[in-house]
Amino acid sequence: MQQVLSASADPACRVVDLLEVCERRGLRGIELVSDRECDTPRVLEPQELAELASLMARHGCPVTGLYVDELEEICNLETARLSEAIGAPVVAPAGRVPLALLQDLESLYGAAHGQLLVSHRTVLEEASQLAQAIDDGRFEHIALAWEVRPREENLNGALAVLEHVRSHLRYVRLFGGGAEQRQMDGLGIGPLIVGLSRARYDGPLVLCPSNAAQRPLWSTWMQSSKSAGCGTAARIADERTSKRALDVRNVEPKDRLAAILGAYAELPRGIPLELTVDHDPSCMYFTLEATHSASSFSFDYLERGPDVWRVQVAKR
Amino acid sequence: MTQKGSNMELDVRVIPPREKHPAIFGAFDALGAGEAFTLVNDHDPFPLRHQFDATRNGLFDWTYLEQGPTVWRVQISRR
Repeated sequence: MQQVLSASADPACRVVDLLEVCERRGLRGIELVSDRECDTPRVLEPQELAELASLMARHGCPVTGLYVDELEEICNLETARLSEAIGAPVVAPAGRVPLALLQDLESLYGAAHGQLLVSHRTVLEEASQLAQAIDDGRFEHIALAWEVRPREENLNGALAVLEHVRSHLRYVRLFGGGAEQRQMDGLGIGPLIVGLSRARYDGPLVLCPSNAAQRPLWSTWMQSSKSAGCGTAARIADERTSKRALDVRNVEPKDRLAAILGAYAELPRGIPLELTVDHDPSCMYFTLEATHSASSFSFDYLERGPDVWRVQVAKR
Repeated sequence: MTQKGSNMELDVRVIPPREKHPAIFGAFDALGAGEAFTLVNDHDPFPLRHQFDATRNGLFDWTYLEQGPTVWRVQISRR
């Protein structure tokens, strides 16, 4: 599974800037989006788009798909040719593509040597109907994409959907992750990712903002990836009570360890550090135990979830 | 291109923090002897390794396949 950034994360962002974001964030591809906001694919000629795609591939960040959501455009031979030109599929939502048109689209994309992925929601009936149609028609130029919306859909049925579509699934769009990773607790993303792994899904996982209101969050996430340093942004030292506190809930997971270990390293003996986390920080206990001796610190739980964990750490 | 039929990749970068470790330990506990998966993360998961040491001591092997700067890959196999 390769993590990929959808251009819909910031429609105003140029492709060169998206490439930089991907490099900083360890993302290995970009989804182009053809709609009113992201106009790159529309303003470029197929030849120019092909050159852009080849430039992106040279940067280790190939185009993984071209998302199109208007029927007229999906059914256009030029669009099918773009798929061939960029060496990536056109992805179109099932809601825009009547089942009765699939046979014609198979011929159209076949003639253009392109590929069309029709994307279903986390809805078993929709997904299994599409999978059945692809089986029945023995389509070679049409396969499936899956649009997962954890904030809007109930993902309890996600594994049943996966079972029905697995053999045709080439693409997953996740409306979340990235800048919204920390906000999507308990919505089913963990079990979904484990399910995809177990099913040996090895296509792209395309990160998209879950709605337009999240875009400022994504812009910030895309512009920054550097750690704030050893908890400087989150640390509050209260001189009066000689207590120190570190709340890492707003620190990106990848930067938390440095923040906590940094605060611990600076902690004078006998002064407690109160740590606030959005998961059980037992891994920090084991890390301190492995890197310092167990008798050299105390680690006391003040609050044990379900949403917030607080522990008091002190050097002995 | 499957070298070992049983090796799967578990990319936990999009998983919310609270669900990450349960997902990883769940995947590990479901492995049979000799099976492995590759953990993909956006930071060095060494606290997790210490947690493995403490809770599944002697049951696993830990091999780094990629060590940053943006992506870490660790093959975790069950003995």
